[in-house]
Amino acid sequence: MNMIELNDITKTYTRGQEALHILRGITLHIAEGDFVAIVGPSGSGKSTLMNTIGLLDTPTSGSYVLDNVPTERLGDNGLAELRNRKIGFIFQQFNLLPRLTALENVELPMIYGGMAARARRERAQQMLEALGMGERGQHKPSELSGGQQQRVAIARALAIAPSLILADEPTGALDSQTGAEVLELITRLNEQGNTIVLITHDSHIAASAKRVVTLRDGAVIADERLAPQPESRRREAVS
Amino acid sequence: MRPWELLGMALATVRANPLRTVLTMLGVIIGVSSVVTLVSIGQGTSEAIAKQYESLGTNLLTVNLMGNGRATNLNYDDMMALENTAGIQAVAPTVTKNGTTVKYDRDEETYNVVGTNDRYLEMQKGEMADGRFLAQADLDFRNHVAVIGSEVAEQFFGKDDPLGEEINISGYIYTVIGVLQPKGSNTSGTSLDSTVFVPLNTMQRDFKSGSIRMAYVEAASSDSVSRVQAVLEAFLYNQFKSSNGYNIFNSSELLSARTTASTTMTNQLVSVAAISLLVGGIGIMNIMLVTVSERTREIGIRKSIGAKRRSILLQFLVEAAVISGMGGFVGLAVGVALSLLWPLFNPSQATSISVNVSLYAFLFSVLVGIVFGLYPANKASKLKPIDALRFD
Repeated sequence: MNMIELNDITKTYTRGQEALHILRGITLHIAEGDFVAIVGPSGSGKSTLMNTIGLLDTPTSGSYVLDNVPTERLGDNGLAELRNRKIGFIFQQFNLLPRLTALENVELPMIYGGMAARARRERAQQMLEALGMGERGQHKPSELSGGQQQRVAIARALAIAPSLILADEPTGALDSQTGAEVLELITRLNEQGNTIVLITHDSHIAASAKRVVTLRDGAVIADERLAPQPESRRREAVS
Repeated sequence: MRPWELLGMALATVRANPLRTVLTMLGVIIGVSSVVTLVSIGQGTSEAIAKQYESLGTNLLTVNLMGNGRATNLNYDDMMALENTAGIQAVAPTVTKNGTTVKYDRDEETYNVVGTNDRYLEMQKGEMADGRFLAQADLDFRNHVAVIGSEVAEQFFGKDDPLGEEINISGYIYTVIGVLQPKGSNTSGTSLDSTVFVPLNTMQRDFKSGSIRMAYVEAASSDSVSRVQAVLEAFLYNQFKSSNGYNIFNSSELLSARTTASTTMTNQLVSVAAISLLVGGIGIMNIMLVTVSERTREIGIRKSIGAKRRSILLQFLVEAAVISGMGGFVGLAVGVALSLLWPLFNPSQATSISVNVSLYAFLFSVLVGIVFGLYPANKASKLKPIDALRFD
């Protein structure tokens, strides 16, 4: 079963007379439980593709089905709800809210998901503990190291048990040691059954994935499988 | 999202920027506190006026005689003859000499001297502290006797007993027969406390100032006030052969006129204060707009993890309402404090805090926050997550 079905996705910006084709008809199916790295040089359109997959941006044409939900006809609110329920983002710059504590940051998606205060506080604490950050719940992001901030961000991404984890250069702002640790963490998440899409320009990092998709000039130029596609084993209980 | 979560979020943001929050609130604080204070002062004034007239009784009519070409004067006896008219309880004509030199021993002061009759005291609701007031016999015999106000007594005699002492009024010697209780200003702004009262016809003879310029007429009951007024109009028209040269004030009319004047004044002041509340609201809008562009990235992050338009809109709206509401609350406290302190610095000016107006001012301040927060909040909610995330 496919988690992501992108069919003939294009994205075009018009600047004055000039039309800028960022994505030129991308068709990409990603299976549930897979770990896909999307690589390509800067300007290849991988960020735009990532924003499209993350429902932060809408394509000019083409169809996108995420976890069996067609997304073309969804409005702002529908997209927001889908992002909330199905996608966990891990950003290069962590994107934690600076004024909130680590714990509050992890709680945030659950607040928007309408979870009761007590339950979400407990779950946020659990998520932090699972990532080795149990003691840091009351720290502000500025009081944490880069690696620690990224762990908090990962805890936040996992808090709502997303169908898809979308990581955009998750190690880009970290030193190689911490970067390796975070990457290992992501690999482990995949082993636990999470579907992961990782955007990177670094081929070493891409090597941890099971499948590597290479973009250039807004088109897929290579699609390589490094490890076998996993069996669909998750989500029997989820409708 | 639940309301208290929005409130918590708003409070967290407000706490994170204390200085800016206070500065933003300032306009609302000034607006609300000035509305509350001004209304208190206005209401205090109105109540003080009402009290003044109440103490005077609303049965009282005041007749001013300016005179016209034909006739300038009214005879004392003619006026007193009005007492035989049905509905009229008492008549007290007065002759006034303002700024008269009064001497006792070596002290020399300037006071108002009023010539009147025995009816005056009761009509003005004055009370004797010592001795007696003027009597009919003092007028009949043109006695050189005087009743002095409390300030006059204090000034000349201090703690000594003034009764039986002789004072010199513009060269004529009068014997003090009574001292009044302190009372404060009356409706026409003159104070009994700094006045010397002498028999009307003694004064007319001594000072050759014969004209009766003012008379108080008391109706038997409040029902007969308008009838008495009509009788007086007729009497005066007959005397002056014209409707010029005199006028008649009815206490209750005067009361409502003065209350209206005070209310109008208060309303105008409050309108000005309300404008400052409006300016405060614009200040909030300004800051909220700055906040929105400053927090574009935050909005992007929130949207990327699932905040809907409505959540963002409400977040900013509640924030604006919290800022203005807090400002309103502080303004309310400042206004109440000022209202309570005001009489300490202006003893003559009473204040009376209006609970309703204070409440409205507070609610209005919250409303101002919501109205002026609407535009920035809407702007924030409409940001596209992708544009907001890219923003640095």
